[in-house]
Amino acid sequence: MSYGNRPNTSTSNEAPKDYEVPHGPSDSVSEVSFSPTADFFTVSSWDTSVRIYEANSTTGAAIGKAIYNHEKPVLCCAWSKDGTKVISGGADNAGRCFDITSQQVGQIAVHEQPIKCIKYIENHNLVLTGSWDKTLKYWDMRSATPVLTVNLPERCYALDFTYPVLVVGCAERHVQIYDLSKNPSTPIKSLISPLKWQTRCISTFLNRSGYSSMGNVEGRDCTGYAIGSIEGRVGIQYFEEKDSQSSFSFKCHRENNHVHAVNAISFHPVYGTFSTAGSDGTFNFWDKDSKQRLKGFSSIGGPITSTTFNNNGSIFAYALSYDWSKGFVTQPQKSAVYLHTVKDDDVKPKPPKKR
Amino acid sequence: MGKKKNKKVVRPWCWYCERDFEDEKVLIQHQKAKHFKCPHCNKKLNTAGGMVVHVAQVHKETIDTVPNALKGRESTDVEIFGMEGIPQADMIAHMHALETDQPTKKIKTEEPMELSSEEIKKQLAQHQAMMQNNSTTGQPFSYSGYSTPQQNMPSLMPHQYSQFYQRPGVNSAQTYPYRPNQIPGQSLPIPGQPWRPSVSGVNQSLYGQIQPATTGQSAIYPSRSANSVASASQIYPQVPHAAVSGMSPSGQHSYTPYTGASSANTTMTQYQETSPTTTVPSVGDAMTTNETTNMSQSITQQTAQKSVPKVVLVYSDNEVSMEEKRAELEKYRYNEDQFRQQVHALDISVQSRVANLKGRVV
Repeated sequence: MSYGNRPNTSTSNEAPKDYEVPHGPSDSVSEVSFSPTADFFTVSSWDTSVRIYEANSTTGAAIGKAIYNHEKPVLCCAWSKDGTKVISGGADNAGRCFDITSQQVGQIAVHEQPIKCIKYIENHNLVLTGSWDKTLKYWDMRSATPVLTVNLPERCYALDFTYPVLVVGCAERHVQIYDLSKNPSTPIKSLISPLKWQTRCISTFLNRSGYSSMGNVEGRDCTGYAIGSIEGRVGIQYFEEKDSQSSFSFKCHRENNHVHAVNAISFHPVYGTFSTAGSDGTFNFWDKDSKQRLKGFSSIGGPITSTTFNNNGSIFAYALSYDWSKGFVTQPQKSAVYLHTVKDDDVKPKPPKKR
Repeated sequence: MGKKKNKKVVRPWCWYCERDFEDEKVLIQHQKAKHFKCPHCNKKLNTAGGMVVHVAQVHKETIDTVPNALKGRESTDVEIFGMEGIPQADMIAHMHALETDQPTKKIKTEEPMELSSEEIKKQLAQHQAMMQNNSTTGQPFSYSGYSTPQQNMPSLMPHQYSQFYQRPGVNSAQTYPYRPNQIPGQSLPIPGQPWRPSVSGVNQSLYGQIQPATTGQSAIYPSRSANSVASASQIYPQVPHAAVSGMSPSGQHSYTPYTGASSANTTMTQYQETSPTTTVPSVGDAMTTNETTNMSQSITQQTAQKSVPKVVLVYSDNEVSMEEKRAELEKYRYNEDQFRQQVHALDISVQSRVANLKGRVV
């Protein structure tokens, strides 16, 4: 399945002319994450730092607010639901927490291998970490021992959740789906990725009404997930048996015969459309329901390693930095985070186009 | 491919590639997908002119040929939409082709076959000459790449050989499980019946080559019964394989011919291995099989090369992620033991210095 047809309004890929966040990290960006409450965002980097910025949504500019460090590269970062704490995990096998108000850093998690993914689960006030040591661990941020340790079939590569559904993507294409409200220790589904290549990123999505009822928990229902692989392909998968025939996958981030990895998938918090970004340095906005590409942008000159929307979907932040897709290079390109002011028309779902 | 049901009713056909369709709607769909698609963004335009304007305005580039079109019909100046705009001369030529029951498409399918039959005849002549030569000189016959021991061959050869070609496949059929020279209809697969792909690669070309020499029957037979890629390439030689393979999941389809070729090869070697004790008729058998296998192999390899869109995964390690590799780098690596060792070494050096100092003080 490919998005061959494209609306007439966006036949070409325009070059994104976006604002570059000043004082960026000196090495590759591993993750960009927006606060759920305000236009603050964190940038975690291979230079061992986690930087916290404030974005001004009217001017589109950003200023640095704080910085803290791990001992080794930081691989992931996230915010607590109330926007007062930043959590991060890194190659020093440690999870750390930074309190915005007190400006204090503390260690909250430890694994035997680097922590690849970190999420804050507000419903239980727990931090979830996923590591290459093939475990998930839940931490309550006060105790040195995890509340719960869950064994995974393989190294954890990507995870995302929309309470109560947690989807974990592991090496060897394993995908584990958990119901956090019932039993977080055993998966409700354990399957192999619909894509034929290594899982790169996972993002859960809600049902249609879940997006229109912004902030209203009632009717918000996590119906499926999008999964991206190193082979320029994205799969849209639904959980329910009845929806399973609407699951599909499509190709993207390919130029001529070079197939790039899909590095990031982010869903728009209001419209439920989503972005994909890849090693080819392009990002696109898609509508999974009408199976259309809404907007494409030309390459920014280097891989995009992470993307995120802010809480109301007006700002799209993406990180330009080398993602190691070509192994060690002597002169990696610069690392920078850009803020893209989202045009409503670019992310609004469109009615399916008649062929 | 029912062409000529009624002379008055002409199936809509595409001027660019001489393909005909059930319906004009399908034809237009085909033209949009095959001939009027923008090579830069895959947007489907309605006409060649529309594509030119689109490419010029949007991508700032010029395009002067229609993709996937036959030679001489690549011009973008001819405004074709479905059946509209086809030059009168070509229309007449097409009608004429239909009336004389020589659809252009059919000719195309036959082309490779005719070539190969001619070739086989030539090879046969050569072979016969060589055989006679061998028998007169009494030299053991040898053929490059062919290693079956030939004990009593020199004397038997010419006779057996001619017998073999006069009564094809009657004797040899009993000794060999694999009988390329048999007349179609005796025990070989019926067209339309699915063949095992591993064998079909060999059989297909064998048919095309040996039939004209033996029976001289319909040359289209192999291409109809053949498996996927080879036949597709013969029926639509002008359609680039990238376009065909684009429809199937990338990579997968392109491997089919390759395995076909390689397994044909293995069949071949197995065949040779089982035949060393046998006498001369097998030589003729194995010979032709050998040649034709090589040819079919080269054909399938060619198609394989053509149809592989040479997709390159920029990052292709399916087992280990980019980040894991990167974290292995000295600069990024976290190794507690190393830290402990460093600390320990520091401790020891400090202690020894302290001890030294103490010694001096005392």
